[in-house]
Amino acid sequence: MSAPPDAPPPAPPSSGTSAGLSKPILDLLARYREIITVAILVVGCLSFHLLTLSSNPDNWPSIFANPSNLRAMLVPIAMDVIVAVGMLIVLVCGGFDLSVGSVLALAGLATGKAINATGSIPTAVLAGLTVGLVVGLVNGVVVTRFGVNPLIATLGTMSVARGLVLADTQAHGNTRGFPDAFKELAWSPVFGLDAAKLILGALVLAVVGDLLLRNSRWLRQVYYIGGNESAARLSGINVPVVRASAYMICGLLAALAGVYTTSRYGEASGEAGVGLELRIIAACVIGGASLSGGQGTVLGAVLGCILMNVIANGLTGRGVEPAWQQVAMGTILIAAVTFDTALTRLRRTR
Amino acid sequence: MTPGDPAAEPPVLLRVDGVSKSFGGVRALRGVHFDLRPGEIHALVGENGAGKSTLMRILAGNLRADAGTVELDGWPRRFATPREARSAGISIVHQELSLVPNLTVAENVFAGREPTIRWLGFVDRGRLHEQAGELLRGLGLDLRPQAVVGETSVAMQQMVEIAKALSLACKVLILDEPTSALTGREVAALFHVLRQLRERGVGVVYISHKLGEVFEIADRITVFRDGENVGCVRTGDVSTDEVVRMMVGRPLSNLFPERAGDVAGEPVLRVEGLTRRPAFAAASFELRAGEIVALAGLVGAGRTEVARAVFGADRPDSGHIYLSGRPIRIRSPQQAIANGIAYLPEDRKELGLFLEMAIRANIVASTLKQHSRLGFMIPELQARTATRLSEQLRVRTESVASIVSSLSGGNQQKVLFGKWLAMAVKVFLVDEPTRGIDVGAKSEVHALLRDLANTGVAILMISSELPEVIGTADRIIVMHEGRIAGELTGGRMTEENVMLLATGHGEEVASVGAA
Repeated sequence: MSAPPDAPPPAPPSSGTSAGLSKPILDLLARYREIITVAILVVGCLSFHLLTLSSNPDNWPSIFANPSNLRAMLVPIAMDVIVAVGMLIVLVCGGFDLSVGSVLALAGLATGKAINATGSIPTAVLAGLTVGLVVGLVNGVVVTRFGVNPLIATLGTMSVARGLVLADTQAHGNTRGFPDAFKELAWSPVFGLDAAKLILGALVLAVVGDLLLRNSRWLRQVYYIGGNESAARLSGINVPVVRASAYMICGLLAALAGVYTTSRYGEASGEAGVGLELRIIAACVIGGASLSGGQGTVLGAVLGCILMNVIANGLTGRGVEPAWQQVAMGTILIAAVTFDTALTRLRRTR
Repeated sequence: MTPGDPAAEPPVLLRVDGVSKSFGGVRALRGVHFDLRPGEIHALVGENGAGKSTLMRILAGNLRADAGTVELDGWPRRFATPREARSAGISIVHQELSLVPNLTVAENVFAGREPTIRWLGFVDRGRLHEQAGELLRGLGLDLRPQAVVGETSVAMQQMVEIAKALSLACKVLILDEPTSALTGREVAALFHVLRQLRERGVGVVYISHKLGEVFEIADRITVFRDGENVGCVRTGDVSTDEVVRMMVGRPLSNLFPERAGDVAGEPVLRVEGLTRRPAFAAASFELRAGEIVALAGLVGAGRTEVARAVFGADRPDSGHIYLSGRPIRIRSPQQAIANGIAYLPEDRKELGLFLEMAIRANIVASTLKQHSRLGFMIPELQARTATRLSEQLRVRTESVASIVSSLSGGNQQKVLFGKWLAMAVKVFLVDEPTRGIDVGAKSEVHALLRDLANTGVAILMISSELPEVIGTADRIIVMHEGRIAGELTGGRMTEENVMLLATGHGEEVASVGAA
């Protein structure tokens, strides 16, 4: 049994090299984080398709993948995308905006009031968008000028805006009774699709937003601020102004979604956009944005929105109660962030 | 061996043997030895980066040594956490105090170990204050246990830290630059306490840059240089000069780039009466094209604050700044940059770099406009600048797309320089440009600064490393407690003169200069 004294020591187990992901793959995943979201999306869609296969001609080829269901998913996805583009910019900047849901409702209400008072569609739309810009400006000023934590600042404006909406709806009921021309805004079909304007609009916004965030000088600064605010300031980046502009863009886009909601549903409801903020933040984070700032792309956020809606739709198709859908969403959110953290740690140690 | 036998070696309380530690490729400690006897104050001196703090962090359980042993009372020990080190009897008082400002002195001293009322688990305030009061009186301190820590002076807070260490029955007390924020009288009070500890048999490791204080308080001095112990001497046996020579080690002329002679050209930047209380007041100086002016002084003398005010990062209370003779107003870093003024901050990770971004993105951070057309960033322009500068600065990396956090400290510092070289710099304020980088990278940085000066840039270099100050600067401005204490040129540029001015003994410099 005894080995000769000069025998070579046993080779160390080659665990570090063969097991796990290799460095080039880790680097690729970190660089194009969207790959992961796409992968989950593909797996999710395929499983929902296979789980709901149907021979019923109305639901062919499956309850999930039949044309009318896919078309029905487009509207909520497009709405989420509009809000998510703004939210993503704020997140990359190292901020946070909880007020988007309330802004959506308040802007929708302002639009409804304005259309009933003036009958002018441009005035009404402008009124709605102005509300979004103003709340965004308030968020930006409170965060940058007064140094209030973004969570608290936007929690405050979220509550104020929602309170204003509820005060009005409790006094006068939901605002409705708009002229047909205003409702036409959201409903007039293009290519036989009634929500075509919304979907095309969201698509254009996503593409333009992605390009601008990647390449425009103004929005590039957002990555520097989110990456290291002090260094950005000492590099000559006007941190307060850029940061405030991010909140204003976010408010404006939430308001745009509000204007559309009012037009599409023919009323401005007090419950519009409740819970929207957390869903959008979750979608952005699933798409690769980091709550500590400096990371995230519009493409990722869009994919995150699609994924959230696919899961909600697919689970509904399988007859899963909304309560359990929330459980699933939360689990996926935590899994996505855990994965990101693990990826970063793996890359550090290689 | 009988007690009192003069030939007998006193027992050793703490013995460090052959300890090594590397960070990435940089060897911070190379097999160092160190020993401490009970009732001894043992000073540890050396330049920044000599390895003092690394050794202390190992002793305090914050770091693990790669090799070597640590023995306490003759037993080999390995501390995995600060908690283990503390319970073994080693306490450390850091430069940055670790007290909770909103709590009282007594609560801080006994944090987490407050005496409690039995069964209930409530803090027994009566006993807490009694025990803390006893401890404070034992140290001869006139401090109420009920006082809120944040409302007491820095010196008192330091005493609270020491009291906390003693309450943990510490045998070894490590003080890291304890006097950097203290006034003369407070230093005397601290020394009084330290002498009492010596009487009680506590071993004190005293880390300091201030050799005057070291000679006043220490029994022995150990000198570290480049991660090695270059000698241990009795305080009575040596002079300050000898210790300085041990710290610096090699002749300075080999280390630093040649000066180009008297090349200073036109005045570029003139600062008059710049004041920002309480950091500094009435700072007036001039920088000429092509010269490197060192701004020396102790930590907390107001050097960084002056540079930040010139750069527009902080708003001064009063004062004027002239660029090439014309008065300018600088209210933000943007305006400073537009005027060709650049500032390299001392803390590159916190204030300088975008660690998780590419080298390329870091290099163009302050010149986004220059690398864009019609509001859009042009990738080719960015890549061209980044490649040119990373080659010029010899940044060791595979590609300018690499993430900065993957680089070594020296290479990160070069990237930070690259950010400012991407623009046309007229005035370059560099704050501790070689902090935390290895010797090779240091020489590269020194050569770079000299090259820049030779192209006509006016450089103000803040540095706490005296050899660097003497070796690279054409002129030295020394600050003391927020004021410019004096200026040294030519043959008067010696470490001793800098230290005299920095510690407020400017009158002695004049006599030296005249002699």
